[in-house]
Amino acid sequence: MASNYLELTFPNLRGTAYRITSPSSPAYNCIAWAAGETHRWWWPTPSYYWPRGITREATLSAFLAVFQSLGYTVCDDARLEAGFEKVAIYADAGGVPSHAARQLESGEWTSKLGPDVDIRHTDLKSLESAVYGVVSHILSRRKPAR
Amino acid sequence: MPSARTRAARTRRVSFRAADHLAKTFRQLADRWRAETRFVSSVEKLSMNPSYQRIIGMGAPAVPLLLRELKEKPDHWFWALEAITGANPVPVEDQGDIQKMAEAWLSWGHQHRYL
Repeated sequence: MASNYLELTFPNLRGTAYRITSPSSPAYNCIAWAAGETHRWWWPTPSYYWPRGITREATLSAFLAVFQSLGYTVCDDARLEAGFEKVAIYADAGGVPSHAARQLESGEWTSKLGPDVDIRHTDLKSLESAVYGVVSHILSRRKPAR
Repeated sequence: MPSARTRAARTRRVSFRAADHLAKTFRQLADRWRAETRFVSSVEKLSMNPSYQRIIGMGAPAVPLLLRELKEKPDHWFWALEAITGANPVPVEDQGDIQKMAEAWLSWGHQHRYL
């Protein structure tokens, strides 16, 4: 389902096969969603959830440390790789983390857009925008055994 | 010279008008904040939004409005409540859990007779 209100903020979504996959919710954000959670808002601000032991600051190094604590390591590209799952961290023009997305088994990406909806999007470029800036880092980890 | 009863009625009318104005202003600012931050994850950016800052600037009279808003539609009003009241009733284990954070603040609001 395409929605023009999303394309106004994320013009790179236009003409792509994105779709909304959840109702809006202030209960969780993109970082939680990329980490696989839907019941907490992850942010380094006091009073919000932040993994224990990681510096509470809105910097790329702190955000990288969060995903490294989940078993991810920085990698070179966003291509789908068998046996691996990937996340991407976006940063604004000041280098401050703004968003995270997680790769799906199809090679598409899934993102929670702040307190708004989750979407599936075909690539990472789709969400590069004035709000989220650009992709700063890609991380990958071997898929956990099921 | 107006009687004491007339003066009291006039004072009540003025305070009702002021409360009504405050509630309308709050509603407008809250709606604008939601619209302007609907895709934002950063708690700093959510809280530094000009509409959100204007709500903080309303001071103590905004606390009952914030708590009622939190009760009806849990959202990220915690920074504002903490900034205005200096309190933080959210237990460490509930940090980031919006529903539980809202419940902690509503309980605090009852204890301090804001609700």
